[in-house]
Amino acid sequence: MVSKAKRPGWIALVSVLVFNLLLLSLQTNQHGSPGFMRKLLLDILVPGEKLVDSGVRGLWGIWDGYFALIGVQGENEKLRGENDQLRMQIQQQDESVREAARLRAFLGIAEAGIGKTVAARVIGRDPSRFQQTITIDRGQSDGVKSNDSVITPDGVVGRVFSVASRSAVVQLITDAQSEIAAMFRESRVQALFKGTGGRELELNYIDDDYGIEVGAEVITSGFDQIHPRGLPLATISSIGEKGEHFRMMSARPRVDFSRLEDVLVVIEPATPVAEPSQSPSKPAATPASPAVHSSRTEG
Amino acid sequence: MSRVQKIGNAGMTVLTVLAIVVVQGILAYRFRVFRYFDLPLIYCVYYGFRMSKPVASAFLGGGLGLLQDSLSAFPLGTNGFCKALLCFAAASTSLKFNVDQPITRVFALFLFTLADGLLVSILGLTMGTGGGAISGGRPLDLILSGVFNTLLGLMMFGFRDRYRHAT
Repeated sequence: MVSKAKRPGWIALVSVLVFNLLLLSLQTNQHGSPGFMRKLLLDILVPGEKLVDSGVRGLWGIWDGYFALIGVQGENEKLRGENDQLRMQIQQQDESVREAARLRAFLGIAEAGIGKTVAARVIGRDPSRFQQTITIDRGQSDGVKSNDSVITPDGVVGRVFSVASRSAVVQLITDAQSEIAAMFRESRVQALFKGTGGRELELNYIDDDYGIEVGAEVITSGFDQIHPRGLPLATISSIGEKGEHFRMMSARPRVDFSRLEDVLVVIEPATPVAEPSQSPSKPAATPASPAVHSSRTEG
Repeated sequence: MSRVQKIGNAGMTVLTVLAIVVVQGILAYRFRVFRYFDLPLIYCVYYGFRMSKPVASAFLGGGLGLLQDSLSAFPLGTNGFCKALLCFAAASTSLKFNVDQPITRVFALFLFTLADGLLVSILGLTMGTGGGAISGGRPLDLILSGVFNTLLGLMMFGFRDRYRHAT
């Protein structure tokens, strides 16, 4: 039997545990999701995180600006060369873009594009060991909402998981709970890629008749209603042994998450481009559900 | 201890808790290796051993865990539940065992890290948000995390011992 002297300790423990279990159960049934509490905690934590982050950035800036300039001249010349080449490419592609716009207008297809975006800075990462999230310095006051797509020029980063007034938590595509509707750029085969919790994405149960090879590029299909269509997502890095019907694949994301500094949040997606009925698309390898980026949504 | 001192100590503890979660987030973002560390867990064990107050430890662990959850994709309460339990266990352990022995600290830090990983995973599976540490090839990560946490925790305890003997 618990003595009187020891009872308060157990009562306190049970109270704290019950409180946490209640919070968990509120999120299970989704009716009374304690989004307000998450928002409150984020509002408390993030100003401090921004302050420390700006201090760290300042120190890194001093290092980058004064001590890490060895070899800059050579790099400059190399970049100038690349710049000239890219300008020539742009001039060549300009005509193709005009032609595509004329054809779009002719066929009555809506303008392609990402939509309205807002730039955000990454200020922190998941403080627990088992999830892959980042914290950004833009929130509700900047128009950011739950489930907004987060991207960089390299490709897709993830989706907004929870939002506070001036900050938001973004679930990365590599998180073990993340799923994203995608397709192969060349073959147009659709597939559902899942995060592994590590550095890669995985695609299970794809029909091996499609002849997909290592190095194949994967882009977003837009069917998850989160990410705009056609954004670079990943490159196939390994293909598993042929099974009876299906095979498994791993893909390396196009975005280098270890060097992620700034991102774009798509706050108003562009009108989705209509899929032509005579599309050469093959049937979906994995059926894509409407809310595939993650099985759980946060208010 | 006067009332002013008590309030001051409580304020310092709250600030330390906030600082630990912020620093963990920033270090994990800047340095890849810090994803293996769990500063909030180390602080829970440290606080439990140092204060030997199970009630205060349970509240501190719960608060620390909730702050951790708010910056991650975990359902709110996952780390709150685990850290409250472990912080309480650490404080209770310090009442029954001599936690000044390095071997006790090594075992405690390593086992608490494993217990935290397992509890988070069990809650995750119950909530349908994944197996956390025990899914895929991640048990190895959990053991590695246990080793890193033990080493850092021992350093913190060593620092504390030196400070205590100096005063």
